[in-house]
Amino acid sequence: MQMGFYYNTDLCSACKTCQVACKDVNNLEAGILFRKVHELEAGEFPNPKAYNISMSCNHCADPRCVQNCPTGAMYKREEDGIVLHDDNVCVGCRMCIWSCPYGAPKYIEEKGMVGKCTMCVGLVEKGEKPACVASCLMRAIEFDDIEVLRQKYGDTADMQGIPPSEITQPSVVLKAHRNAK
Amino acid sequence: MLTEVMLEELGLILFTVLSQFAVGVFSLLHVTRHVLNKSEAKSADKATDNGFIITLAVMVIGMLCALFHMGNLSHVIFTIFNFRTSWLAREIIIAAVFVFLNAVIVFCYKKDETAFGNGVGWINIVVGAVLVFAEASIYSTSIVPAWSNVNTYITFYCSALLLGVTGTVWILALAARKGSGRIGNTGLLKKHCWLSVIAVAVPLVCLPVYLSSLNGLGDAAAESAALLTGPYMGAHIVRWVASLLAVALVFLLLYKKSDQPGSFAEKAPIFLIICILAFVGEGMGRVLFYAIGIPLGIPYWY
Repeated sequence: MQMGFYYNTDLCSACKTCQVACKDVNNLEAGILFRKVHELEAGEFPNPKAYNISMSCNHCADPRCVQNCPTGAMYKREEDGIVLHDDNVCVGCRMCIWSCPYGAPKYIEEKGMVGKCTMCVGLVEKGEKPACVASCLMRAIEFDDIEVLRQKYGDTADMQGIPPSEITQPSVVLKAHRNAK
Repeated sequence: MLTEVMLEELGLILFTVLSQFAVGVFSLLHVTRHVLNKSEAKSADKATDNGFIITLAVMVIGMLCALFHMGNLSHVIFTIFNFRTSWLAREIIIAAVFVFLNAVIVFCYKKDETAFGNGVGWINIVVGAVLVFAEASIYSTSIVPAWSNVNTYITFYCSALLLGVTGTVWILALAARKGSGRIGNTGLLKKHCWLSVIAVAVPLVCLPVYLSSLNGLGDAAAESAALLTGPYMGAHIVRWVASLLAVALVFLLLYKKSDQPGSFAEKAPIFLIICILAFVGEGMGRVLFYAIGIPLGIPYWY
Protein backbone atom coordinates (compact mmCIF):
# COMPACT_ATOMS: atom_id res chain seq x y z
CA MET A 1 0.00 0.00 0.00
CA GLN A 2 1.10 3.56 -0.68
CA MET A 3 -0.51 6.41 1.20
CA GLY A 4 -0.81 9.76 -0.57
CA PHE A 5 -2.39 13.20 -0.70
CA TYR A 6 -5.02 14.73 -2.97
CA TYR A 7 -4.84 18.49 -3.54
CA ASN A 8 -7.75 20.38 -5.00
CA THR A 9 -6.00 23.58 -6.05
CA ASP A 10 -9.30 25.03 -7.23
CA LEU A 11 -10.41 25.14 -3.61
CA CYS A 12 -7.17 26.29 -1.94
CA SER A 13 -7.48 29.89 -0.77
CA ALA A 14 -3.93 30.13 0.61
CA CYS A 15 -5.23 30.65 4.16
CA LYS A 16 -2.15 28.68 5.34
CA THR A 17 -4.05 26.88 8.10
CA CYS A 18 -2.43 23.60 6.95
CA GLN A 19 0.97 25.24 7.21
CA VAL A 20 0.25 26.45 10.75
CA ALA A 21 -1.21 23.09 11.85
CA CYS A 22 1.86 21.29 10.49
CA LYS A 23 4.17 23.71 12.26
CA ASP A 24 2.23 23.20 15.49
CA VAL A 25 2.09 19.42 15.41
CA ASN A 26 5.80 19.19 14.59
CA ASN A 27 6.73 21.94 17.08
CA LEU A 28 8.83 23.76 14.48
CA GLU A 29 10.84 26.92 15.09
CA ALA A 30 10.30 30.12 13.10
CA GLY A 31 11.47 29.82 9.51
CA ILE A 32 11.08 26.02 9.25
CA LEU A 33 8.05 24.71 7.34
CA PHE A 34 7.44 21.05 6.58
CA ARG A 35 4.32 22.12 4.66
CA LYS A 36 4.25 25.30 2.63
CA VAL A 37 1.51 27.03 0.69
CA HIS A 38 2.97 28.23 -2.58
CA GLU A 39 1.35 31.13 -4.37
CA LEU A 40 2.02 30.62 -8.07
CA GLU A 41 1.56 32.86 -11.04
CA ALA A 42 0.71 32.24 -14.67
CA GLY A 43 -0.34 34.15 -17.75
CA GLU A 44 1.07 37.38 -19.11
CA PHE A 45 0.15 41.02 -18.87
CA PRO A 46 -2.62 42.12 -19.32
CA ASN A 47 -4.02 38.74 -18.22
CA PRO A 48 -2.02 37.68 -15.17
CA LYS A 49 -3.33 34.67 -13.28
CA ALA A 50 -2.63 33.26 -9.84
CA TYR A 51 -3.32 30.05 -7.96
CA ASN A 52 -2.16 28.31 -4.79
CA ILE A 53 -0.92 24.91 -3.83
CA SER A 54 -0.12 23.46 -0.44
CA MET A 55 2.85 21.14 -0.63
CA SER A 56 4.95 19.02 1.71
CA CYS A 57 6.78 15.72 1.24
CA ASN A 58 4.96 13.75 -1.44
CA HIS A 59 6.18 10.38 -0.14
CA CYS A 60 7.27 9.55 -3.69
CA ALA A 61 7.20 6.05 -5.16
CA ASP A 62 10.80 6.60 -6.30
CA PRO A 63 12.16 8.96 -3.64
CA ARG A 64 15.53 10.37 -4.66
CA CYS A 65 16.16 11.55 -1.09
CA VAL A 66 16.10 7.91 0.06
CA GLN A 67 18.34 6.84 -2.82
CA ASN A 68 20.93 9.58 -2.24
CA CYS A 69 21.00 9.66 1.57
CA PRO A 70 24.43 8.25 2.53
CA THR A 71 23.42 7.10 6.01
CA GLY A 72 20.05 5.54 5.29
CA ALA A 73 18.42 8.10 7.59
CA MET A 74 15.80 8.65 4.88
CA TYR A 75 13.80 5.49 4.38
CA LYS A 76 10.49 4.36 2.96
CA ARG A 77 8.18 2.26 5.13
CA GLU A 78 7.14 -0.90 3.34
CA GLU A 79 3.69 -1.16 4.90
CA ASP A 80 2.36 2.26 3.77
CA GLY A 81 5.08 3.85 1.60
CA ILE A 82 5.54 6.79 3.97
CA VAL A 83 9.03 8.33 3.65
CA LEU A 84 10.45 8.85 7.13
CA HIS A 85 13.63 10.27 8.59
CA ASP A 86 15.71 8.72 11.36
CA ASP A 87 17.30 11.38 13.58
CA ASN A 88 19.52 8.74 15.16
CA VAL A 89 21.66 8.32 12.03
CA CYS A 90 21.26 11.60 10.09
CA VAL A 91 24.64 13.29 9.65
CA GLY A 92 23.22 16.58 8.38
CA CYS A 93 24.94 16.40 4.95
CA ARG A 94 21.85 17.92 3.25
CA MET A 95 22.09 15.52 0.31
CA CYS A 96 18.32 14.95 0.61
CA ILE A 97 17.72 18.67 0.10
CA TRP A 98 19.66 18.51 -3.18
CA SER A 99 17.61 15.46 -4.16
CA CYS A 100 14.01 16.57 -3.57
CA PRO A 101 12.31 18.56 -6.36
CA TYR A 102 9.58 19.64 -3.90
CA GLY A 103 11.92 21.14 -1.28
CA ALA A 104 10.44 18.87 1.39
CA PRO A 105 13.43 18.10 3.65
CA LYS A 106 14.42 21.11 5.75
CA TYR A 107 17.74 21.64 7.47
CA ILE A 108 17.29 22.44 11.17
CA GLU A 109 20.37 24.38 12.25
CA GLU A 110 19.94 23.77 16.00
CA LYS A 111 19.78 20.00 15.54
CA GLY A 112 22.45 19.88 12.84
CA MET A 113 20.23 17.62 10.81
CA VAL A 114 17.25 17.49 8.51
CA GLY A 115 13.55 17.14 9.31
CA LYS A 116 10.50 16.55 7.13
CA CYS A 117 6.80 15.75 6.90
CA THR A 118 6.05 12.33 8.39
CA MET A 119 2.45 12.34 7.11
CA CYS A 120 1.71 12.70 10.86
CA VAL A 121 2.46 9.02 11.20
CA GLY A 122 1.68 9.09 14.92
CA LEU A 123 -1.82 10.44 14.32
CA VAL A 124 -2.41 8.14 11.33
CA GLU A 125 -1.49 5.07 13.39
CA LYS A 126 -4.17 6.13 15.89
CA GLY A 127 -6.71 6.26 13.05
CA GLU A 128 -6.69 10.05 12.78
CA LYS A 129 -5.96 12.27 9.79
CA PRO A 130 -2.70 14.20 9.28
CA ALA A 131 -2.91 17.67 10.86
CA CYS A 132 -2.90 19.48 7.49
CA VAL A 133 -5.82 17.42 6.20
CA ALA A 134 -7.86 17.77 9.39
CA SER A 135 -7.27 21.53 9.62
CA CYS A 136 -7.94 22.54 5.99
CA LEU A 137 -10.91 24.94 6.07
CA MET A 138 -11.66 24.42 2.39
CA ARG A 139 -11.27 20.62 2.51
CA ALA A 140 -8.78 21.04 -0.30
CA ILE A 141 -6.46 18.31 1.01
CA GLU A 142 -7.38 14.65 1.36
CA PHE A 143 -5.35 11.70 2.55
CA ASP A 144 -5.83 8.02 1.71
CA ASP A 145 -4.37 5.05 -0.13
CA ILE A 146 -3.10 6.62 -3.36
CA GLU A 147 -4.94 4.02 -5.46
CA VAL A 148 -8.23 5.00 -3.80
CA LEU A 149 -7.48 8.68 -4.48
CA ARG A 150 -6.62 7.90 -8.11
CA GLN A 151 -9.88 6.02 -8.56
CA LYS A 152 -11.82 8.98 -7.12
CA TYR A 153 -9.95 11.86 -8.75
CA GLY A 154 -7.85 10.51 -11.63
CA ASP A 155 -4.09 10.14 -11.80
CA THR A 156 -2.86 13.66 -12.53
CA ALA A 157 0.30 14.48 -10.62
CA ASP A 158 1.46 17.26 -12.93
CA MET A 159 0.47 20.89 -13.01
CA GLN A 160 2.00 24.13 -14.26
CA GLY A 161 4.54 25.37 -11.71
CA ILE A 162 5.17 21.95 -10.15
CA PRO A 163 8.29 19.90 -11.04
CA PRO A 164 7.51 17.03 -13.46
CA SER A 165 6.21 13.91 -11.68
CA GLU A 166 8.43 11.64 -13.77
CA ILE A 167 11.47 12.56 -11.64
CA THR A 168 10.34 10.89 -8.39
CA GLN A 169 6.75 9.71 -9.02
CA PRO A 170 5.11 11.61 -6.14
CA SER A 171 2.24 9.93 -4.30
CA VAL A 172 -0.16 12.76 -4.99
CA VAL A 173 -3.24 13.41 -7.09
CA LEU A 174 -3.77 16.99 -8.21
CA LYS A 175 -6.84 18.79 -9.36
CA ALA A 176 -5.18 21.52 -11.36
CA HIS A 177 -6.49 25.04 -10.87
CA ARG A 178 -8.19 26.53 -13.92
CA ASN A 179 -5.37 29.10 -14.09
CA ALA A 180 -2.72 26.39 -14.06
CA LYS A 181 -3.88 24.61 -17.17
CA MET B 1 26.33 36.57 -2.79
CA LEU B 2 29.31 34.68 -4.20
CA THR B 3 31.10 35.14 -0.86
CA GLU B 4 28.04 33.72 0.93
CA VAL B 5 28.07 30.64 -1.28
CA MET B 6 31.81 30.27 -0.78
CA LEU B 7 31.49 30.37 3.00
CA GLU B 8 28.44 28.12 3.06
CA GLU B 9 30.00 25.45 0.87
CA LEU B 10 33.64 25.97 1.85
CA GLY B 11 34.00 22.43 3.17
CA LEU B 12 32.82 20.91 -0.10
CA ILE B 13 34.76 23.37 -2.28
CA LEU B 14 37.99 22.54 -0.43
CA PHE B 15 37.29 18.80 -0.41
CA THR B 16 36.53 18.52 -4.11
CA VAL B 17 39.45 20.72 -5.22
CA LEU B 18 42.00 19.18 -2.83
CA SER B 19 40.92 15.61 -3.57
CA GLN B 20 41.10 16.26 -7.31
CA PHE B 21 44.57 17.76 -6.81
CA ALA B 22 45.60 14.65 -4.87
CA VAL B 23 44.19 12.27 -7.50
CA GLY B 24 45.73 14.23 -10.39
CA VAL B 25 49.16 14.58 -8.81
CA PHE B 26 49.21 10.98 -7.60
CA SER B 27 48.36 9.63 -11.04
CA LEU B 28 50.81 11.80 -12.97
CA LEU B 29 53.56 11.34 -10.43
CA HIS B 30 53.18 7.57 -10.59
CA VAL B 31 53.27 7.56 -14.38
CA THR B 32 56.29 9.90 -14.31
CA ARG B 33 58.06 7.57 -11.88
CA HIS B 34 57.29 4.58 -14.09
CA VAL B 35 58.61 6.30 -17.24
CA LEU B 36 61.72 7.69 -15.53
CA ASN B 37 62.49 4.31 -13.95
CA LYS B 38 63.37 2.99 -17.39
CA SER B 39 66.22 5.50 -17.91
CA GLU B 40 67.11 7.08 -14.58
CA ALA B 41 65.83 4.84 -11.78
CA LYS B 42 67.59 6.48 -8.83
CA SER B 43 66.50 10.01 -9.70
CA ALA B 44 62.99 8.74 -10.43
CA ASP B 45 62.57 7.45 -6.88
CA LYS B 46 64.11 10.53 -5.27
CA ALA B 47 62.13 12.93 -7.45
CA THR B 48 58.78 11.37 -6.66
CA ASP B 49 58.96 9.87 -3.14
CA ASN B 50 58.04 13.10 -1.33
CA GLY B 51 55.25 13.77 -3.81
CA PHE B 52 53.28 10.77 -2.56
CA ILE B 53 53.56 12.10 1.00
CA ILE B 54 52.17 15.44 -0.26
CA THR B 55 49.20 13.76 -2.02
CA LEU B 56 48.46 11.77 1.15
CA ALA B 57 48.55 14.91 3.32
CA VAL B 58 46.42 16.92 0.88
CA MET B 59 43.82 14.16 0.63
CA VAL B 60 43.60 13.84 4.42
CA ILE B 61 43.23 17.64 4.76
CA GLY B 62 40.53 17.56 2.07
CA MET B 63 38.59 14.87 3.92
CA LEU B 64 38.86 16.82 7.17
CA CYS B 65 37.52 19.91 5.35
CA ALA B 66 34.53 17.87 4.13
CA LEU B 67 33.60 17.20 7.76
CA PHE B 68 32.74 20.91 8.12
CA HIS B 69 29.84 20.34 5.74
CA MET B 70 28.25 17.83 8.10
CA GLY B 71 25.79 19.09 10.67
CA ASN B 72 26.21 16.25 13.13
CA LEU B 73 29.74 14.90 13.39
CA SER B 74 28.79 12.25 15.94
CA HIS B 75 26.93 10.42 13.15
CA VAL B 76 29.77 10.52 10.60
CA ILE B 77 30.34 6.76 10.87
CA PHE B 78 26.85 6.16 9.42
CA THR B 79 27.76 7.92 6.14
CA ILE B 80 28.98 4.67 4.62
CA PHE B 81 25.83 2.68 5.40
CA ASN B 82 23.87 3.33 2.18
CA PHE B 83 26.64 2.26 -0.19
CA ARG B 84 24.07 0.36 -2.27
CA THR B 85 22.39 3.45 -3.76
CA SER B 86 24.09 6.62 -2.50
CA TRP B 87 26.98 8.11 -4.47
CA LEU B 88 27.93 10.16 -1.41
CA ALA B 89 28.40 6.99 0.66
CA ARG B 90 30.39 5.46 -2.22
CA GLU B 91 32.56 8.57 -2.52
CA ILE B 92 33.41 8.50 1.20
CA ILE B 93 34.42 4.84 1.05
CA ILE B 94 36.43 5.28 -2.17
CA ALA B 95 38.20 8.34 -0.71
CA ALA B 96 39.14 6.28 2.35
CA VAL B 97 40.48 3.51 0.10
CA PHE B 98 42.52 6.08 -1.87
CA VAL B 99 44.05 7.42 1.36
CA PHE B 100 44.79 3.90 2.62
CA LEU B 101 46.51 2.81 -0.61
CA ASN B 102 48.46 6.08 -0.78
CA ALA B 103 49.66 5.46 2.79
CA VAL B 104 50.65 1.89 1.81
CA ILE B 105 52.70 3.25 -1.09
CA VAL B 106 54.47 5.80 1.11
CA PHE B 107 55.27 3.01 3.57
CA CYS B 108 56.49 0.66 0.80
CA TYR B 109 58.80 3.27 -0.71
CA LYS B 110 60.21 4.06 2.73
CA LYS B 111 60.92 0.37 3.30
CA ASP B 112 62.35 -0.07 -0.23
CA GLU B 113 59.50 -2.39 -1.24
CA THR B 114 59.31 -0.52 -4.53
CA ALA B 115 57.95 -3.34 -6.70
CA PHE B 116 54.94 -3.86 -4.42
CA GLY B 117 54.49 -0.09 -4.06
CA ASN B 118 54.52 0.37 -7.83
CA GLY B 119 51.83 -2.30 -8.24
CA VAL B 120 49.63 -0.70 -5.60
CA GLY B 121 50.23 2.65 -7.33
CA TRP B 122 48.54 1.48 -10.55
CA ILE B 123 45.57 0.24 -8.54
CA ASN B 124 45.34 3.57 -6.73
CA ILE B 125 45.28 5.46 -10.05
CA VAL B 126 42.12 3.50 -10.91
CA VAL B 127 40.72 4.16 -7.42
CA GLY B 128 41.44 7.89 -7.91
CA ALA B 129 39.67 7.92 -11.27
CA VAL B 130 36.66 6.18 -9.69
CA LEU B 131 36.73 8.70 -6.82
CA VAL B 132 36.45 11.64 -9.24
CA PHE B 133 33.61 9.78 -11.01
CA ALA B 134 31.81 9.28 -7.67
CA GLU B 135 32.25 12.96 -6.78
CA ALA B 136 30.70 14.02 -10.09
CA SER B 137 27.92 11.43 -9.76
CA ILE B 138 26.79 12.94 -6.44
CA TYR B 139 25.95 16.15 -8.26
CA SER B 140 24.68 14.54 -11.44
CA THR B 141 22.01 12.64 -9.44
CA SER B 142 20.77 15.84 -7.76
CA ILE B 143 17.75 17.91 -8.81
CA VAL B 144 19.98 20.79 -9.94
CA PRO B 145 19.86 20.96 -13.76
CA ALA B 146 23.18 22.85 -13.90
CA TRP B 147 24.87 19.88 -12.21
CA SER B 148 22.99 16.88 -13.53
CA ASN B 149 24.73 16.55 -16.87
CA VAL B 150 27.97 15.36 -18.45
CA ASN B 151 29.62 18.78 -17.94
CA THR B 152 30.07 17.98 -14.22
CA TYR B 153 32.16 14.92 -15.12
CA ILE B 154 34.20 16.88 -17.69
CA THR B 155 34.84 19.71 -15.22
CA PHE B 156 35.88 17.43 -12.37
CA TYR B 157 38.22 15.25 -14.46
CA CYS B 158 39.80 18.27 -16.16
CA SER B 159 40.31 19.96 -12.77
CA ALA B 160 42.11 16.84 -11.57
CA LEU B 161 44.26 16.91 -14.71
CA LEU B 162 45.22 20.60 -14.54
CA LEU B 163 45.89 20.56 -10.79
CA GLY B 164 47.72 17.26 -11.32
CA VAL B 165 50.04 18.67 -13.99
CA THR B 166 50.87 21.89 -12.13
CA GLY B 167 51.31 20.04 -8.82
CA THR B 168 53.46 17.31 -10.35
CA VAL B 169 55.72 19.77 -12.15
CA TRP B 170 56.17 21.77 -8.94
CA ILE B 171 57.00 18.62 -6.93
CA LEU B 172 59.52 17.45 -9.55
CA ALA B 173 61.14 20.89 -9.73
CA LEU B 174 61.31 21.05 -5.94
CA ALA B 175 63.05 17.66 -5.80
CA ALA B 176 65.44 18.72 -8.55
CA ARG B 177 66.21 21.95 -6.71
CA LYS B 178 67.11 20.01 -3.58
CA GLY B 179 69.39 17.94 -5.77
CA SER B 180 67.60 14.73 -4.80
CA GLY B 181 66.12 13.93 -8.17
CA ARG B 182 67.25 15.71 -11.31
CA ILE B 183 65.06 14.99 -14.30
CA GLY B 184 66.92 14.45 -17.54
CA ASN B 185 63.86 13.39 -19.53
CA THR B 186 62.57 16.75 -20.76
CA GLY B 187 60.38 14.99 -23.32
CA LEU B 188 58.24 13.67 -20.49
CA LEU B 189 57.80 17.15 -19.04
CA LYS B 190 56.74 18.38 -22.48
CA LYS B 191 54.02 15.74 -22.53
CA HIS B 192 52.79 17.16 -19.23
CA CYS B 193 52.43 20.53 -21.02
CA TRP B 194 50.02 19.01 -23.51
CA LEU B 195 47.98 17.42 -20.73
CA SER B 196 47.53 20.85 -19.13
CA VAL B 197 46.40 22.24 -22.48
CA ILE B 198 43.81 19.45 -22.77
CA ALA B 199 42.68 20.09 -19.17
CA VAL B 200 41.71 23.66 -20.02
CA ALA B 201 40.77 23.34 -23.69
CA VAL B 202 38.14 20.59 -23.22
CA PRO B 203 35.95 22.39 -20.63
CA LEU B 204 36.43 25.69 -22.46
CA VAL B 205 35.22 24.16 -25.74
CA CYS B 206 32.30 22.53 -23.91
CA LEU B 207 31.29 25.80 -22.19
CA PRO B 208 29.15 27.27 -25.01
CA VAL B 209 27.41 23.91 -25.50
CA TYR B 210 26.79 23.70 -21.75
CA LEU B 211 25.37 27.22 -21.55
CA SER B 212 23.12 26.78 -24.55
CA SER B 213 21.88 23.40 -23.26
CA LEU B 214 20.99 25.03 -19.92
CA ASN B 215 18.85 27.57 -21.72
CA GLY B 216 16.71 24.76 -23.08
CA LEU B 217 16.21 22.87 -19.81
CA GLY B 218 13.60 24.97 -18.03
CA ASP B 219 13.53 27.90 -15.65
CA ALA B 220 16.03 26.68 -13.02
CA ALA B 221 18.63 25.78 -15.66
CA ALA B 222 18.09 29.06 -17.51
CA GLU B 223 18.58 30.95 -14.23
CA SER B 224 21.88 29.11 -13.71
CA ALA B 225 23.04 30.13 -17.19
CA ALA B 226 21.90 33.71 -16.58
CA LEU B 227 23.91 33.86 -13.33
CA LEU B 228 27.04 32.63 -15.08
CA THR B 229 26.77 35.13 -17.91
CA GLY B 230 25.35 37.97 -15.77
CA PRO B 231 26.20 38.78 -12.15
CA TYR B 232 28.97 36.16 -11.92
CA MET B 233 30.60 37.10 -15.23
CA GLY B 234 33.54 38.81 -13.46
CA ALA B 235 34.27 35.74 -11.31
CA HIS B 236 33.82 33.55 -14.38
CA ILE B 237 36.45 35.55 -16.26
CA VAL B 238 38.85 35.36 -13.29
CA ARG B 239 38.32 31.57 -13.23
CA TRP B 240 39.35 31.13 -16.86
CA VAL B 241 42.13 33.75 -16.89
CA ALA B 242 43.80 32.12 -13.87
CA SER B 243 43.59 28.60 -15.35
CA LEU B 244 44.68 29.74 -18.83
CA LEU B 245 47.57 31.73 -17.36
CA ALA B 246 48.70 28.64 -15.42
CA VAL B 247 48.67 26.58 -18.62
CA ALA B 248 50.43 29.29 -20.63
CA LEU B 249 53.20 29.58 -18.03
CA VAL B 250 53.63 25.79 -17.77
CA PHE B 251 53.82 25.65 -21.54
CA LEU B 252 56.28 28.55 -21.76
CA LEU B 253 58.58 27.27 -19.03
CA LEU B 254 58.51 23.59 -19.86
CA TYR B 255 58.07 23.44 -23.59
CA LYS B 256 59.96 26.49 -24.80
CA LYS B 257 62.70 26.81 -22.22
CA SER B 258 63.15 23.29 -20.92
CA ASP B 259 66.36 22.69 -22.84
CA GLN B 260 68.31 25.32 -20.92
CA PRO B 261 70.56 23.49 -18.42
CA GLY B 262 69.51 23.75 -14.76
CA SER B 263 66.56 25.95 -15.60
CA PHE B 264 63.94 23.42 -14.46
CA ALA B 265 65.22 23.14 -10.88
CA GLU B 266 65.72 26.89 -10.52
CA LYS B 267 62.14 27.55 -11.45
CA ALA B 268 60.62 25.62 -8.54
CA PRO B 269 59.24 28.83 -6.89
CA ILE B 270 57.66 29.87 -10.22
CA PHE B 271 56.09 26.42 -10.57
CA LEU B 272 54.65 26.86 -7.08
CA ILE B 273 53.08 30.16 -8.18
CA ILE B 274 51.68 28.41 -11.28
CA CYS B 275 50.24 25.70 -9.05
CA ILE B 276 48.60 28.37 -6.86
CA LEU B 277 47.24 30.04 -10.03
CA ALA B 278 45.69 26.73 -11.06
CA PHE B 279 44.17 26.43 -7.58
CA VAL B 280 42.72 29.95 -7.89
CA GLY B 281 41.22 29.15 -11.31
CA GLU B 282 39.81 25.76 -10.41
CA GLY B 283 38.78 26.94 -6.93
CA MET B 284 36.87 29.89 -8.41
CA GLY B 285 35.33 27.49 -10.92
CA ARG B 286 34.14 25.33 -8.04
CA VAL B 287 32.69 28.33 -6.17
CA LEU B 288 30.78 29.21 -9.35
CA PHE B 289 29.66 25.58 -9.69
CA TYR B 290 27.93 25.78 -6.32
CA ALA B 291 26.73 29.35 -6.85
CA ILE B 292 24.81 28.52 -10.03
CA GLY B 293 23.23 25.41 -8.49
CA ILE B 294 19.59 26.46 -8.79
CA PRO B 295 17.42 23.46 -7.90
CA LEU B 296 14.23 22.38 -9.61
CA GLY B 297 11.34 23.33 -7.41
CA ILE B 298 8.20 25.33 -6.92
CA PRO B 299 8.80 29.01 -7.60
CA TYR B 300 7.46 31.60 -5.16
CA TRP B 301 7.62 35.35 -4.95
CA TYR B 302 7.31 36.25 -1.31
